[in-house]
Amino acid sequence: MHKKAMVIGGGIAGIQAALDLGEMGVETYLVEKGPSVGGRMAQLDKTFPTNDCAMCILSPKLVEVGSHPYVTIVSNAEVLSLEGSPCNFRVKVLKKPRYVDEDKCTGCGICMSKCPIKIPDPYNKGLSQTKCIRIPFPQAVPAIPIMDKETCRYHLTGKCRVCEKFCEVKAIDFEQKEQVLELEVGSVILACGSQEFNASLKNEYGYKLFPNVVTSIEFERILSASGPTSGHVVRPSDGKEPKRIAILQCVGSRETQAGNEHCSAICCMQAAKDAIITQEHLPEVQTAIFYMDVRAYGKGFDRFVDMAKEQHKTRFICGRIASVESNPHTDTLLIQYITQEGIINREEFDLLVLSVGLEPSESSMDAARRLVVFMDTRGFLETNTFRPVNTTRPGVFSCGSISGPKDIPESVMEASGAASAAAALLGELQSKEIRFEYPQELDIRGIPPRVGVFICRCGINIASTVDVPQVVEYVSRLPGVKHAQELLFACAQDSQKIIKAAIEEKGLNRIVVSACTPRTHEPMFQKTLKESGVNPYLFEFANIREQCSWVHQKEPEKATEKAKDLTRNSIVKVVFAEPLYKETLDVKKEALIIGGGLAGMTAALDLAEQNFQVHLVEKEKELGGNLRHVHTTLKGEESAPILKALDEEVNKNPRIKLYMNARIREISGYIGNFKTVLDPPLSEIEHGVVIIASGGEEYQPKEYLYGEDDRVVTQRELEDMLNGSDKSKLSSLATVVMIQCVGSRDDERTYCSRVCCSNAIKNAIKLKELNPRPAVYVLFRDIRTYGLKESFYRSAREKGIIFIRYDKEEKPDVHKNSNGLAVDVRDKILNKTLAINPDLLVLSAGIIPNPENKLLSQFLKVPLDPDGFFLEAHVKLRPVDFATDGVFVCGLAHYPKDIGETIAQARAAAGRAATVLSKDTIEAEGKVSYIREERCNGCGACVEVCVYNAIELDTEKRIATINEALCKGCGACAATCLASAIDLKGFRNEQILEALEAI
Amino acid sequence: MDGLDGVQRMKSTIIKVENKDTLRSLRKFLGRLMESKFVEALLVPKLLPGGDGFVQSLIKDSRMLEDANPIAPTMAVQSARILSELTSSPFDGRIGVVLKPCELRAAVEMVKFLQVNLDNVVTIGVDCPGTYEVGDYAEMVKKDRELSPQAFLEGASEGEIRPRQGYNFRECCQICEYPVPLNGDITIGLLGLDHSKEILLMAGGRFEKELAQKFSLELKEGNSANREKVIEKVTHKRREQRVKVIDELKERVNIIEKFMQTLSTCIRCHNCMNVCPICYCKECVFKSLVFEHRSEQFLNWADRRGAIRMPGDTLIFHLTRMSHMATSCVGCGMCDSACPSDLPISSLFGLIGSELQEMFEYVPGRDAAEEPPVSVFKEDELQAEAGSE
Repeated sequence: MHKKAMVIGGGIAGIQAALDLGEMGVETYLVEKGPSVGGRMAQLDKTFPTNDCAMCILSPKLVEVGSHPYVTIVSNAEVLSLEGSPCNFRVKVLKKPRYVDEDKCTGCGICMSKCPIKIPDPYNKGLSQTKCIRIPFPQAVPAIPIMDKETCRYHLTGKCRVCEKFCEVKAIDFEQKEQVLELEVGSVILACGSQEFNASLKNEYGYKLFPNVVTSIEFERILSASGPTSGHVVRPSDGKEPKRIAILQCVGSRETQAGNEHCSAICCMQAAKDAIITQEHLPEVQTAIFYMDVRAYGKGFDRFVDMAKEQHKTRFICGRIASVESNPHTDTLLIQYITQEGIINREEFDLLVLSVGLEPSESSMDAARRLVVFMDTRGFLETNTFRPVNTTRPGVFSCGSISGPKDIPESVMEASGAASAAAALLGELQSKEIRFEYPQELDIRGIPPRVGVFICRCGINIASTVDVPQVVEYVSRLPGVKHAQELLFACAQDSQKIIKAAIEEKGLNRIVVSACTPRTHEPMFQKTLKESGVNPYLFEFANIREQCSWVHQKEPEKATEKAKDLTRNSIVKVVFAEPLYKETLDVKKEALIIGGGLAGMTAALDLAEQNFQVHLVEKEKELGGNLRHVHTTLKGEESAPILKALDEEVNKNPRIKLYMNARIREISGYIGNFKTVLDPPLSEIEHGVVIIASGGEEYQPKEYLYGEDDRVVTQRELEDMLNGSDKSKLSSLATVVMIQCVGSRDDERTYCSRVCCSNAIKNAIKLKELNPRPAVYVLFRDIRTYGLKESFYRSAREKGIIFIRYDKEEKPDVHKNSNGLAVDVRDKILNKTLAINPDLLVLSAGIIPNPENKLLSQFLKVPLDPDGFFLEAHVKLRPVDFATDGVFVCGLAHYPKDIGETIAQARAAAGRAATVLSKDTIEAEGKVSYIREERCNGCGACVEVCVYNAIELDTEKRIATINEALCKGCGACAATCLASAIDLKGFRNEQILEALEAI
Repeated sequence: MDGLDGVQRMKSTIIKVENKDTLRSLRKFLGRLMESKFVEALLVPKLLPGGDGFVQSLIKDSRMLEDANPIAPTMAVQSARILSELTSSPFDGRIGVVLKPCELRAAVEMVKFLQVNLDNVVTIGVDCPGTYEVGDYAEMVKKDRELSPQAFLEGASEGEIRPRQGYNFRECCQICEYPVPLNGDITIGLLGLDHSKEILLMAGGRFEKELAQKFSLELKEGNSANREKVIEKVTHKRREQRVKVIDELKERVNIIEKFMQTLSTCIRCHNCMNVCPICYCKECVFKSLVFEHRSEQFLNWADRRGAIRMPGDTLIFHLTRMSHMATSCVGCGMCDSACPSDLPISSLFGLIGSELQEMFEYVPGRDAAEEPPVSVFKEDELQAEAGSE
């Protein structure tokens, strides 16, 4: 059995899956077809609904996956075949030539600056130029250039080799050949993503014909500070700032003519975000978004759209663009569109952005074919609602948009879920820190500082601007410095040998390296120190590349002076540094799961399969939660057999201990060491992690005569009827009206309940199938059948179900009259009020949070969002985690979601929990806060500001105490403490003040 | 009054004054609190043996109330500091503490920083017409041995409070907008009443019922109209004075050079910090290693600038203290009284503090449940100030 895994596709989903597997102790290959991991997220400007910079939140993940001891990135490669069976797969991987030796290259980028051939930059969607040999983008991982053979002058003419000449480490290899790697793994995750719709296929919108028509992804690049215009929003034709921007939704989505009947799930929010960000760049800009339905179905999405409308002057126009003409003199676009009222308008715009949809990518389909997993008719991977991360081939899992369009958090959730499933297949895992034997550490107590300083030339990257010998000469005279020298590439292997030799010969006990960025290189130098018996925290890193040679390229003297200053600053800081050690915490390898619904049961089974003891607490007398009322899925799968099987599995699993009719009385402790008292029984459980799966509830309507008239029911009640004995009663119906957004998207609950549109359509279709005669009206605000659910909306319309849009301001009126129930609703298309007399009125009641969330949030010190759902650590990249380590969330406790999403998230929570439970101990940070007790007044201000809950008040001693294992070293407490009783190791006040003095 | 929504509604009754001796009646009331075991002990200002001043005293034996003066016109030590010491560890029984309005507000601030624990404390706030510097009072007594303590209540009934001839109230009292206590468990009202005949007793919150029972008091809702009017009159006058003082000060410190000049006579004695009820650090950071410099360091600095002021860290001391506690400053003025260089510390803190407090919609000492701005972080706070707009 091979306890290794392979993730195919290095976008955000693949990265997350590989990181989770790595953290669980599974050695993982991450195979990426391009030269760098990062995927489409690396090209985005900001992310909705928080407007976080995409690259800023992605690049830490890139660095992490690039340096993870358990993850091997195989870039510029694709999978050829997969043979064998689960746990025993043999994979053939084709590694294409880069023409750069990955082992030798230091990523200095000199080849790129010297290459004479310019090509359109694929990273910027061709809106700017790059070189034929290039690092794809500054944060690329691996940061190794790739040569484009098709345009390389040497490859074309046999002359040039400029890059080779300048490469100091001789990494250029024109003769590099394709290589086939044969790898053995136990499980595989497919995460090859999707591709953007080719807007040229819709030539009525003028893409590629008119210069000022761009796609949404091109527009992302225009908005991005790292984009072709450095974030200056200008239109391509004349470089002028646009004043009027039109964004057209559903280009290549929800269009059968374009071959894509699905909804692309992300474009509505992307458009809203682009409108907001554009207006932040250009306060006067006016943006109009042409849409069919505003699909703001996720957490905080509706609030975000409202923000775009109200604070950022964005017009949302329900209608399609009929034609686009471009004025040949001004390149201004004349757009003709039809409003929902049927009025034809003509309006001028300076820029048109086409929100291009996502569709199955060629490479995804290729991969699917080679791995022999089934795709649906559209080319997306086929999945079952109850097995959202499984493909049709055992042992092969999937995540991200390869199985249907989805946004970043959904992809990340699925990734963690797929990692959990892949790991569960491999059975019991034990993550061990890869231990290296390091020599005995030098005891520096009482020994004066002996600083060694190494100044990197970075080939000519630094040395062509900064006078490196002069810096070396200068620092060698500074107090405490016992050795100073320059290095061609400080990061090269032979440089590590030089540093080690200097430490030994000169008895150095503190090291400064002046080179590039600590973000990517610090851990490597720290390892060199450890190998020489020097504590890794007796190290400082000065960045004289980005901060000197790059920004002051035209002022070499000043750059040199600044390099001296920064190095001197680091020398002083390292003189005042102390050796630091990491605290460790033991982990109790058991999990507490709160809630025995679908989410809780799924998470419990995943963890039990990985051999962890699970305590599953359910407040009711039976398991299943809301699933007991969901009889079928949108696709028509029956849920009862699944529920029965789950119930049985949970009940008979020896590693799952069930506590029925039980509630949480008290939870204390922290990651690895929680203690919980249940009621009943009143005994204490010790556990290492907590998964919150406390679910949600159906809203009990107070409107539309619900509870006053028997003919008014909720969608859930209708579903019970449709699947029960009352079915015959339903067959005699003549008119059915469904009202959407009951208790959702109103002033009290501003959020969308996400599942009601699909539920209404599911039940409406079922009604029609039962008896095609009755008229079924669905009164809606926006139909939110996002992603692949769109086809059911289509089929509902084909079955004659009538959809009528209403506004929040003009809700339907329900009353009783002589004809029985009466529903009046204003039809905007006909501009008339329709009077319908249904014999059944079905209310699509929203999902509300579990009222007990509040108490749980207090027990676990984790936050709730304004709507009462649990608020995760980061809505994009940490969708099941909290800032408080060891606590995870899934299912309706997080936000309304459907069965498949619930299962994916539950598996994700289990996977994230397993990354903790698979370790014997948790290692804390070295740079943590500490309290000087004699100064502490116990005022508690630090307790309030610590988001990691690492500080507690010792009421007896009246002082604060820091749990170093939980401290992340953010320093918020140190900044808050008025008494200066808190200091941050590695950043002590004294150290910083001395360093400041030295500048 | 603006921004005082957090102040609880109190119920009140009138205590009749016998023989026009207000002080005696007050002592009698305090005595009853002790004798009825409503409180085990009382902290109350007591006349010094020499008769020329008052000092807070913790009284366990009610006979010792003889020299107590709950309306003492001086404030030798800010009682919030005393309370911090007094309540640092758990104790049995209840202590009643007689506090001036600014002392009570400082105590409430300190509750937020867990430096004062009012669980077993009954706060008795007393209306304050204003206080004198300790030295001034001693001089008054020297000149007039017969000076009656009640003489200091002159003008309180109609809101025409004036200092004794030839003297002035402490500067901070002249501009104090809080002559009446906020949120005491018991409030003793003098403003707007004929104190030779009656005293107002107000009780609110946790002890209301117990007090009403023990003392068979009939508590009614709210203040009398006249008292409200008088309070407003006094407050208004002082607010006007405050605006004047602050505006003048603004002129004196509106550019950094002038600001530095204003503080240039500071001798770095740290008195202002030592007497401040809000400065609660066990050891001020300015007395810590951070501000202990190597000899070589001083020489370096002197070398770089040609000359440096010694001792150093004077301006930064005031700025740091200001950044730490200006949001919580209650304007008690102890810093002014303690400053040997007559620096306008209190009004300077008042100037900065009131702007900061407004920014955070915060009234120090209003309500113990309010989170102080220094320990709260909101992602969207201070956007305009941060320059994002």
